[in-house]
Amino acid sequence: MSNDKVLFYIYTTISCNLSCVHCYVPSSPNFVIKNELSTEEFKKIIDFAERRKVREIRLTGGEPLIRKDILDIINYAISKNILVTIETNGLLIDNNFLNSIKDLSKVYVSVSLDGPKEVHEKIRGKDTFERVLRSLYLLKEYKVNRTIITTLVEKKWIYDEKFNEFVKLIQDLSPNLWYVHVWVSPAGRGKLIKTNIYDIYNAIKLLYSLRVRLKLNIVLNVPPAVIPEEFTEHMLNDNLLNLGCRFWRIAGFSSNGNVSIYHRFTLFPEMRAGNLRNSSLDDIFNHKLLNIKKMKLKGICGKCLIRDLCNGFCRADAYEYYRDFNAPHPLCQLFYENGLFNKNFILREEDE
Amino acid sequence: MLEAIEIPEMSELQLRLLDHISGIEAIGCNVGVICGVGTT
Repeated sequence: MSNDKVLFYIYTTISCNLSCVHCYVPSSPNFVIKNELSTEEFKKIIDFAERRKVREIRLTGGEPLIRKDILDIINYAISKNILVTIETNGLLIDNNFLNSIKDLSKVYVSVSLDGPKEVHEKIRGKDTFERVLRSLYLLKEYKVNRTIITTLVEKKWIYDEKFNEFVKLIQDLSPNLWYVHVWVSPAGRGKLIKTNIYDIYNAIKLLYSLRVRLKLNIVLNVPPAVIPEEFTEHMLNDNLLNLGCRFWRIAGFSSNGNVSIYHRFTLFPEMRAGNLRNSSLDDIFNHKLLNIKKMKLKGICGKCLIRDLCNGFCRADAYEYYRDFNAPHPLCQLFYENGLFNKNFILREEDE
Repeated sequence: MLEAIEIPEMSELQLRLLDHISGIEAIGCNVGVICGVGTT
């Protein structure tokens, strides 16, 4: 399996203009890291990406758009024919920003919209809802490739009428994809979010049935094996099942130059392959931590029908939860332990 | 990537599931699709 990287996932800054309750990094308006990557260092990463034929860079944070040089960075990547994905809370998107991008067809924007006004603002703070809506309609007007990300920090509201109205709003915003996080990663402030496993199960059930009924392009950020058994026949025709990412093909960069496989592993010192300020990127990319040879998944993931396809879904979630790269995905394991795992995905029940 | 193990007998439904899912690209690898949570 190739370890050539197709994607560089970069924490552009850890600073943020919001302080969301579930953020997996300690970002907030008061959290500032000195010594973050300079514009020139960013360009060095992009030059390296070009040389390695990396197809895409993803700019995350923190809030990427609070960097004063963000347009320089975006346009530099575009000039190298590299696609740019921006993960943003959307507050700083305006005409001037969009008009300043050299080629919008090379840009993908993911914007968080966590529910109707009262739900969104409970998570993200006052006066954020209308601003993000303005940005989303602007992205629609400019025909920018866009994903709406909804994180269900609380789940009760999805059983109310307000959820139907929210779905209509999403349909009106017409994103290319609606990406719904039913599960909050057990990282950063997300560790403080206590979620009942049965609430997650019921939310998956509701959203999957909605997808079947309305034919919505909802991608649920859960492994296929936790989708309830009653939908198994539907899954046989479902091309939006989520198999996570090919994490071994993603290099991650922290905002102060640490490099690891997949960006979230830069948060763990033992998972860093090096720092671009101390070593050459060529040397760092030869490090064993950026070249995963094999895994032996444990727990339910080790005996799952699709373990070679899903590869444990999100290794960062597993590592956060168990501090073990080969640990099962926590959602699958918790579902299994509570009798909620889709039994059609179990290969070797007798081994446990 | 995983070590080879003996594959036990699968039901017809499992074979169909495996066949279908084998043809799906990992969505987190699609351009522009994020896979993190709780950020931005």
